[in-house]
Amino acid sequence: MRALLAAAAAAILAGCAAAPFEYRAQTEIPEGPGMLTGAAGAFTLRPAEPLPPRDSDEYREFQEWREWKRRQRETRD
Amino acid sequence: MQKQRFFLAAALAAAAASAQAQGIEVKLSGQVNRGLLFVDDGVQSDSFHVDNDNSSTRFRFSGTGEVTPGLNAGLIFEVEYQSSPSNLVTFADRDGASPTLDERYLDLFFEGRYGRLSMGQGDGAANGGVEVDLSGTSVAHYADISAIGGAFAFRTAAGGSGPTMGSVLSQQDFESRYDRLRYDTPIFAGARLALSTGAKDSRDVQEAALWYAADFARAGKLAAALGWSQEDPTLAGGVDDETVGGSVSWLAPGGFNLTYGHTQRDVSATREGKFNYLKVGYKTGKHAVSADYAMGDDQSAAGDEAESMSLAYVFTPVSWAELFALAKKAQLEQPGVSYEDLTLVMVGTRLKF
Repeated sequence: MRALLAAAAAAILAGCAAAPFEYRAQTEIPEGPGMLTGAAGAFTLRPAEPLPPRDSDEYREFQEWREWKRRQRETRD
Repeated sequence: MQKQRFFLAAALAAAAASAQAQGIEVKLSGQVNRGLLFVDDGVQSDSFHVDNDNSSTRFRFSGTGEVTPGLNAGLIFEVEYQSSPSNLVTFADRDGASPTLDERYLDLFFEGRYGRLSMGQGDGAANGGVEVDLSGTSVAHYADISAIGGAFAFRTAAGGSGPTMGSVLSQQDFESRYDRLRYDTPIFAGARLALSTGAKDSRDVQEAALWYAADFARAGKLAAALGWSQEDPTLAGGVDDETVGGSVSWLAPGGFNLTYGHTQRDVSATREGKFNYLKVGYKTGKHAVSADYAMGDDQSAAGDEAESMSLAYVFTPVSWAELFALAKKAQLEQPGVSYEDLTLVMVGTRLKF
């Protein structure tokens, strides 16, 4: 126990000249890429984007696109 | 007191609403960790399909967001789902009960320039304090000796059963995870202090620990922890369950590494359980190899002397996959009784998804 205390005290004193790093136990879920999640390493869930204002060009284009899709479906049927 | 609780609840609710308005991103990640375990207790032998309890199969939701400039809020929701856990299988129960979702973290925190305040089910301040390890082989073996084969009993040559490996070779890692309030100071020169208070198994728990991690460039990396924990006695008038100890791990730039851990715990009014752990390893590129030695004294009964020696190899072909192999031998000496050695071999893989 004394050896541990001495080692810790010496490390902290010497550590003033060292760069801190974040210790992560290897027994936790690893950081970094995942087999299914790719480079991100996690699936990300984001809040839905709000619709653009009704008087904006973006909203008008979106409505035109929906109308075009609807007409296409009707033509196929 | 009621008023204080009201203001705390109101502050947390306001912070949560603010965080929601700013759209915290939530991340889902996890891992599957399976192995094939062979066990020989000197009387019986058999093989088992197990979930590697060194780092169990689990998944996690986590997220952080800015509440106000300089103050972040976050959450961690993590559960494990183990079929045939490697620390619970026995010859009599080769696959254990049906797996269930078991809580690990149900935690929220606020973090700013004055440190981090956590609340909920999560690590006590000293949890992991005897398990600091930079070897790169912790998925195969580390200070928690009983995570692999901990439920197997030492046997006499006549077939009698003695204590389990877990009861004589526990790493006595403080109080693990529980419902608590925890505070971590900001990091100063690689060191931070952590304090926690809460309840575990209906008993009050307090913990304190000093954590340290620094990179000395040409002299390598050093990580260490010193901890103390106290849990109220099980029975009125009994002794507090008090544990002190820590660990230190050094990783040289060339890959050579050394790890040491020690704990002592007041098991009863007249007995103190002791644990010592030493690991020597080497890692280079995708390969890591190590040998460890652990001693447990007086943990199950006065005069118990248990030892464990093991060798491990971990191959990491890509960052999300690890293949590992472990060979371990454990021995128990008890006054007046002779036990057979326990021999364990395990191979397996951990895949992060």
